[in-house]
Amino acid sequence: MSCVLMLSVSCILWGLGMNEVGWLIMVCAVALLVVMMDCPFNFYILKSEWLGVDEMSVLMVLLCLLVSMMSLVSSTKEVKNGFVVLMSGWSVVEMVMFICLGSVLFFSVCSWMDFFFFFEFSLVPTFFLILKWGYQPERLQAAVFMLLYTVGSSLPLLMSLVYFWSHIKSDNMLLSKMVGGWKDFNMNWPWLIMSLSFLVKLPVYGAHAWLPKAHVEAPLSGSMLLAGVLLKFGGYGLIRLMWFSEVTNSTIVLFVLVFSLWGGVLSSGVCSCQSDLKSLIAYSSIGHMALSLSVLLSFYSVGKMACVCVLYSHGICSPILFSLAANSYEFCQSRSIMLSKGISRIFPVISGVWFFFCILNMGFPPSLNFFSEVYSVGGLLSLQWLLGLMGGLMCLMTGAYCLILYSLVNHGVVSSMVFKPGLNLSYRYLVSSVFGGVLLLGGTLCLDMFFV
Amino acid sequence: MSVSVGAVALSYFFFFLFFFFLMLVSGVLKGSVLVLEWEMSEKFFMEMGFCMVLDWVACMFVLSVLFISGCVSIFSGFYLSHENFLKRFFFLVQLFVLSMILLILFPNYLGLMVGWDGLGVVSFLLVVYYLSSNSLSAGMITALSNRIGDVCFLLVIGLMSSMLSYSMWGVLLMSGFFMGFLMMLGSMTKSAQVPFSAWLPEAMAAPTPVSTLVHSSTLVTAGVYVVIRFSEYLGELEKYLLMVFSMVTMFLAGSSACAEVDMKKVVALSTLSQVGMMMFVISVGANTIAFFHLLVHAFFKALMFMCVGGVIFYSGSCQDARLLGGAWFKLPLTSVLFLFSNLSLMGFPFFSGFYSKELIVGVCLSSNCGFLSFILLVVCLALTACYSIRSIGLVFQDMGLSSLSFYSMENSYYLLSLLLMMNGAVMMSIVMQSLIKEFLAVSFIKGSLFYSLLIMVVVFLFNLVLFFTVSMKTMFLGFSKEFFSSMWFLSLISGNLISVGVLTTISKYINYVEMGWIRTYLWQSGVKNMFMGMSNKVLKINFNMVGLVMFYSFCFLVMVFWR
Repeated sequence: MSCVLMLSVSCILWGLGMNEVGWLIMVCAVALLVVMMDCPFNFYILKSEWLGVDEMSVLMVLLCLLVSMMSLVSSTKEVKNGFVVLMSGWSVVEMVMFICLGSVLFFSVCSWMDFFFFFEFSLVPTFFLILKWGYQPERLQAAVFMLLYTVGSSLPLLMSLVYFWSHIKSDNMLLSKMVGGWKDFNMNWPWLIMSLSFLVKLPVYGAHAWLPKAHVEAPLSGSMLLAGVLLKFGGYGLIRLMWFSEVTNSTIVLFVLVFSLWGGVLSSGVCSCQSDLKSLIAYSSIGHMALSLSVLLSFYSVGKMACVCVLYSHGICSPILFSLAANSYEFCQSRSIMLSKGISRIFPVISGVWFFFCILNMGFPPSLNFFSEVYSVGGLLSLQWLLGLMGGLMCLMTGAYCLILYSLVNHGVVSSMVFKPGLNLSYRYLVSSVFGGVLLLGGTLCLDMFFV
Repeated sequence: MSVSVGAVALSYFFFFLFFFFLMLVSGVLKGSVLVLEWEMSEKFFMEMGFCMVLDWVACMFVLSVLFISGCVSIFSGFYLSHENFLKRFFFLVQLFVLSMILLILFPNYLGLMVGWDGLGVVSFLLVVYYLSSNSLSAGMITALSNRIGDVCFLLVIGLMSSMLSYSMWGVLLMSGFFMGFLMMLGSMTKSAQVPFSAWLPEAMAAPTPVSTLVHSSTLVTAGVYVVIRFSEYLGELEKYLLMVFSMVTMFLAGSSACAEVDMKKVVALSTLSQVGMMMFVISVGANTIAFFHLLVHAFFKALMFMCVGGVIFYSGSCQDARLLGGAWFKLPLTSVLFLFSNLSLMGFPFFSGFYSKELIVGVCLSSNCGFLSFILLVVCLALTACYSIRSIGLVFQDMGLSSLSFYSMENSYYLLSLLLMMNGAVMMSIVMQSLIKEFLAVSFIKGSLFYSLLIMVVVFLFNLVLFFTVSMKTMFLGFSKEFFSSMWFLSLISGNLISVGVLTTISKYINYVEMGWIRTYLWQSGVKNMFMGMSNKVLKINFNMVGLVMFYSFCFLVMVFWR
C-alpha cells in the first residue's frame, strides 16, 4: 500500500513540470480506490500507517471520484477553449483535481492530524476556484465568507485535537479509540465545541449563510464539487467524531437535532421563493443536509445508515442539478428565473432530464434518494412522533420546491433570450446526468452497499 | 401519427389479452394467489423487499386499466390529432399506466410508493401538458395535494418499520391508530375526499384523453384501492372518520355538480361523488362491493368522458356548457352512448351501474350506518339523478348557440374507441358478475314496501324541490350560487388562500431573518467588524516600534516558559 502511494506521489511530482498533471492525479486517485476496495462492512481496517478503510470511506471516495469526473466533463468548455484562463500555471482542471485529491485523502486517512490537515487543505483550491475566474466584487465577499466561517469554527477542533494528542500520545483513530481516550470526560459541551466546525461545514441552519453565496459565485465545477463533496466533509467528520468521542444522547445533542431539523424545514420553505436558480439549489442542499444530520443525531443505527445514504444520493443529484442550471445559463445568459423559461418547447430531451432530476431530488421511488428519505423520516419518527411530523413537513416542502423548480425552468412561453444564433448544444451535460441517474436508480438494487 | 397510435393501442390490447389468458389459466378466479417476493436488503431485521401479489383483485383491476388505456390511446389519436408533441403525450400516458400497474401489482408499502409517487408526478406532467398558466396552477395544486398523501405514506412506512413486514398481511403489533389514520389520510388526498377535493375539478385543465384515463378510472381510484388492500389496518374510529368525510364529499360533489357550468367539471364532480360512495361503502365494511363499484364505474365514466370529449372537440374546444348543445341531431352515436352512461350512473334498472348501486344501498341498509348517514345517502342518490339529467339536457338540447352544426361526420378513431367502450355502460357488470362469484353478494334486507317507497318518494320530492328552487331566481342567485359553484368555497381556500399565505409568509421571513439577522447582523455588523477591526489593530501594532518589540518579547516569553 505504501508503495502504491509513493509511486503515485512520485508520478505527480514528475508530472508537475508537464501540462496534464490534473489527469495524472485522477489516475492515481483511482488506483487508491482500487486498493481500498476489499473491506467488509462495519469494520475499520488500517491498510497502512496512513490509510484507514471502512465501507463508508470507500463510499465517500467513490463519491469524490464520480463528482470530480462529472465536474471535469461539464467544464470542458474551459479546457477546450483556445484561450485558457490560467492563474500562475494552474487551470481549472488542476484546481478541481486538487480538491479531488484533498477529498480522497480526507476520507481515507486514519490519523486525526492528517484528517484535520486535509479538512482545511481542500479549502484553498476552492477559494481559488471561486475567486479567480471572474471579476465581480461579490466573488471576493463570497470567498472570504466561506473561508472565515469554516476556518474560524474549526479552530476549537484543532485545539481539542492537539490536547487529545498530547493526552493519549497517539493520534491514530483506531488506536486512540481502543485505548479509550475520552472515557473520563463528560462529553456534552466539549462535543458541541468540537463538532462546531463540522456543523458549519455541513451546514446547519444558523451558520449557513456562506453556502448560497459561495454557490452562486462559483463556476460550475466549483459548485459541483462544493455541493457534491465538500459538504460531505461535515457529515463524515461528525460520524467519525461521534464514534471517537463517545458522546451520548443528551440535551445538547437533542438541541442540535431539533435546531437542524427545524432549520431544514425553514430552508426548504425559503427555497420556494428564491429568484436565482443556483441559490434555489443551494438552499435545497441545506435542507437535505439538515435531514441527514438530524437522523444521525438520533443515535439509531438506521440513523447512521440513512445519513450516509442521504449524503451519497444528494452528492450525486445536486451536482447534476447544478450542471443543468449552468446549461440554462448558457442559453439565456442569466440565472434569474424570470428569464430562463420555457425550455420544454424547444429542448424536449433536456426538459425530460430536468424533470427526472427534480423528482429524484424530491425522493422518487425506487431511487436511492427515496430510501434515504424514507429511513430518515422513519428514524426520526421512532425517536419522537413530533420529529417525524417535522420530517414529513420537510418532505412536503421539498416536493413543493422541486416542482416549482421544474415548472420555473420548463413551463410556459419560451424566454425571449434563447433565440441567439450559433447555439450549439453539446451533449456532455446529458452524458454526465445519464450516468448519475443510472447510478441513483440502480442503487436500489444494491442497497446493502449504500446503507453502511 | 396513425402508426404510433395503432402501435400503442395494439400493445395495450395485446397485454390485456395476455393477462386475461394468464388469469384464466392460472386459476386465479378459483381463488389461487401468486406471490413473488424480492428481498432487497438484510441490514435491518425485517424483510425489506418488494412483494408482488397476483390475486383476482389485482388481475381484474389490471385488466380493466389495460382495456381502458387501449381505448384511450385510440381516442387520443382522434382528439390530439393536430398536436405536435403527440409522441411525448403517448410516452407520458404509458408511464402513467406503468405506474398504475406497479401500484396494483405490488401491495407492499415500499413497492407501492413507486406507483404512488409515479402517479402523482406523471399526472402533474399530464395536467401541465398544454403549457399555459391555467394548467400550471392546476398542475401545482394537483401535485401538492398528492404530495401531502405521499408524506402521509412516508410516515406510515416509518411506523411500519416497527413491525416485521411492509405488506398488507402484517400484524398490528403497536401504534395501531396512527398507522390506519395516516394511511386513510393519504388515500383521501389521492381520491380527492374533503378537505383535499379542490384539485379534481382543477385538473380538468388537462386534455380530455388524460381526464378519461386519469381522472375517471385510475388516479382517483388508486386511493380507494390502497384502502381496500390495507383495510385490515382500519379500526372503528378510522372507519367512522372515513364515513363522515366520504359523506361530506358525496354531498359536496353532488350539489356542486348541479351548479357547475364547465362540462368536464360536471363529469369530474360526478366522479368525485362516486368515489365518495366507494369510500363510504368501505367505511361500512363491504370491501368487495366497493371494488365492484370501482371497476364498473371506471368503464362507464370513461365512456362518459369520451362522449363529452367528442362533443367538446366538435364544438371547437369549447368547454362551457352554456354554449354547447344539439348533439342529438348531429352526433347520434355519441348522444346515445352519453345517455346510456348517464343512466348507468344514475342506477337505472339493469344497466351496468344498477347492480353495484343496488348492492351498495342494500349493504348500507343492512349494516349499522346510522340514521343520518342513511338519509344523506339517499339525498346523494337523488342529487346524482339531478345532475345527470341536467347534463343530458345541456348536451342534447339545441339552444342554437353551438358550432356543432358545422361538422358533418364523426372521426373513425373516435367511433372505434366509442364502440370498444360501449359495452362498459351496459354489460360490464353482468360480465363481471359471471366471472367472479364474490360480486354476486346477496344482502338480507327486509324488503318491505316501506323502504322502497321511501326511497322513491324522497328522490322524487327532492328533485321537485330542487327544480322549484332553480326556477325561482331570486332565491337561487346570490349566495347559494357562489357557494355551490365554487365547491363550497373549497377551491378558493385550497388554492388561493393557502398558497398566497404561505408564499407571503416565506418572503417576509426571508426578508427579516435570512437577509436581516443572519446575513447582515451576524456577518456584516458582527463578524466583519471584528475581523477588520482586529486586522487594523494588528497592523497598527506591527508598524509601531514599541508595539513590535513588546509583541515579540511576549511570544518569546510564552514559548520559553510554557511547560
